Amino acid sequence: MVIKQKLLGLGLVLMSVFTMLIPVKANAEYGDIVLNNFADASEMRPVVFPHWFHRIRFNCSVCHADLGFQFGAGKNEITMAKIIEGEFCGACHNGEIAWSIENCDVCHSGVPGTPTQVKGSPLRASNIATPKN
Amino acid sequence: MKGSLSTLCLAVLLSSSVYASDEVKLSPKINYAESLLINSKVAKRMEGMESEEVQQALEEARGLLDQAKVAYLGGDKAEANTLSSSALKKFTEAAKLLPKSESAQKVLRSRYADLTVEISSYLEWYDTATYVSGDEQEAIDRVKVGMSEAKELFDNNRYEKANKILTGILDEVVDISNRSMTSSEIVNSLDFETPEEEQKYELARNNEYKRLIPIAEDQQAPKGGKLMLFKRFVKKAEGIRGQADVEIENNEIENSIKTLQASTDQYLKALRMIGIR
Amino acid sequence: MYKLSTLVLIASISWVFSFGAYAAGESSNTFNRMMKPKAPANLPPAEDGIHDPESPGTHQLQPPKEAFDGLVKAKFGNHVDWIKSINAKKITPRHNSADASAKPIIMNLNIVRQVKGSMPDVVFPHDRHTLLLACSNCHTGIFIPQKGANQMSMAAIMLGESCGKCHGSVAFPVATSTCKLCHSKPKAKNAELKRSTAGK
Repeated sequence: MVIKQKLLGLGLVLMSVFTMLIPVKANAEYGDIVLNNFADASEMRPVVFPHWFHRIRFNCSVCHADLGFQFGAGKNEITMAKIIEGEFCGACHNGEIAWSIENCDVCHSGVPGTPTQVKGSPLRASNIATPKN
Repeated sequence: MKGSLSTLCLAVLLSSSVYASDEVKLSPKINYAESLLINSKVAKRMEGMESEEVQQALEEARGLLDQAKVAYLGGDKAEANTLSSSALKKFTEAAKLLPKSESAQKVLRSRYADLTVEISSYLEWYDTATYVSGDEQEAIDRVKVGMSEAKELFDNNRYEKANKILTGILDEVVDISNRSMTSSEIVNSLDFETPEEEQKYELARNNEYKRLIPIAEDQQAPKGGKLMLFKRFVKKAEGIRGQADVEIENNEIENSIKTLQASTDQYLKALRMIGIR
Repeated sequence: MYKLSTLVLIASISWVFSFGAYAAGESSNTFNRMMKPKAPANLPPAEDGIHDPESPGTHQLQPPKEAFDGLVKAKFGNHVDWIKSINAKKITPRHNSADASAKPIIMNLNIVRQVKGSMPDVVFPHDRHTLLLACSNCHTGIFIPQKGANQMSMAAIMLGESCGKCHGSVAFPVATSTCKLCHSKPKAKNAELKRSTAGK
């Protein structure tokens, strides 16, 4: 009787353990970039930049040649001041080509504390710039 | 009139809430908008600009911000959010009327420099490459005229116009190269001119794999048997590389090439062990 | 004497064993019973692990699957073949942010890099790259346009140098399914592989 109860308990424990094993690690969309040079210090969520959404609408050269974005997550010192004056993201996100900067949470939607990184394939080594200060 | 009324309301509410609690708490968005619209460098530049349009827009934006604060302290958070959004939007519109900031001008200048270097190197290449036909002199002359036009504009600080001309020229230069190339395929064969060159290649290759190993181990995080085998292969590779280093010092070029290749092969086996092919 | 507890015990243990099958979505005799299911691709922002589901902005973002609906599929990266989608006019990315009709100038030049060993040679097609990129993006910061001037190996690419600047972070990754996209020119049979001056 006691043994059976123990085995019953074991069975239930095994069931719950197997249940916990279901979720597989979630993957961000390939090419998403988390930018957290200044966000944590300002108590804002870090920015998540989706390459795929922009790639559908623009060539690589539009941002990376015409607008001066360097290759490298965190390599461009993008601040809200620069954006408002029409540099970097602000060249389009100004209410004319795309929506304007008052929609804080659409860009600043990352999990707080995520370091600057590229969500590319697992082996990414040197594509992350160390932010200054 | 509306502005001063809302300021009055704001003063009353602020003073009453200060009376009620230790500090006035507003939403992060309103706090950010305040720092931007009132204290930031952009705002200062706007204040100093002699344009009625800009001053009016700035005042409107600040008025909307005050109204947002009133709404928030009064408990209507949704309205406060909408008002602060409008304030930011108005401010952005005003910012568009400002002349380009120093950092923006720097970007334009460096773009000009990049474009000039690109176009010049194309022209150089056209002069020296063996696989071009050489019939495009007229087009090349047009390009040179365009470049000097752009330089004049750049010297007069008209960066955007200069860059626009150069971008058009660059398109034309690429077009010229397309037309004049006699072959559409260039083969970089792996024939090394001298054994020293091959040794240099093999050494660089081995060094690159060596750099990759710790990063790969960190990312793939092998455990147990895999980790043991991985470490074994890496150790073997390092041993063979040590032997190669001796051979390089003794100038045994041909032997060192073979030994370096053997070391890289062991690194490859190690990587394959942890899932990288 | 079959009491309720025994029945529950038997049911739970058999549930445990069939659970793996359930997770794999098939019957009890799945082929790779102990293999972890592959991470799902193209997850919506609220579930993808980097967007904060508590941020009001996350729910305004378009789920990638929606956007990728009519595009040509691939088995790696975003699971979209971008070049094929552009060539099939499923998407028309702008070459100039303000002008929708501006077209990029395409350069038709292939660079073949011979490789050691039995892997097919690498063919670098300028046409696909100039469709999207400007010359200054690669030349001369990443690649020197001169034969023999660019040392690279697969390790360097995986470290994020040369081709790895984009391929592995934002363009298609280095994976077993993508080898042949670059290594696309098989060596001629019985080709004299003049790889090494050593051992001749």
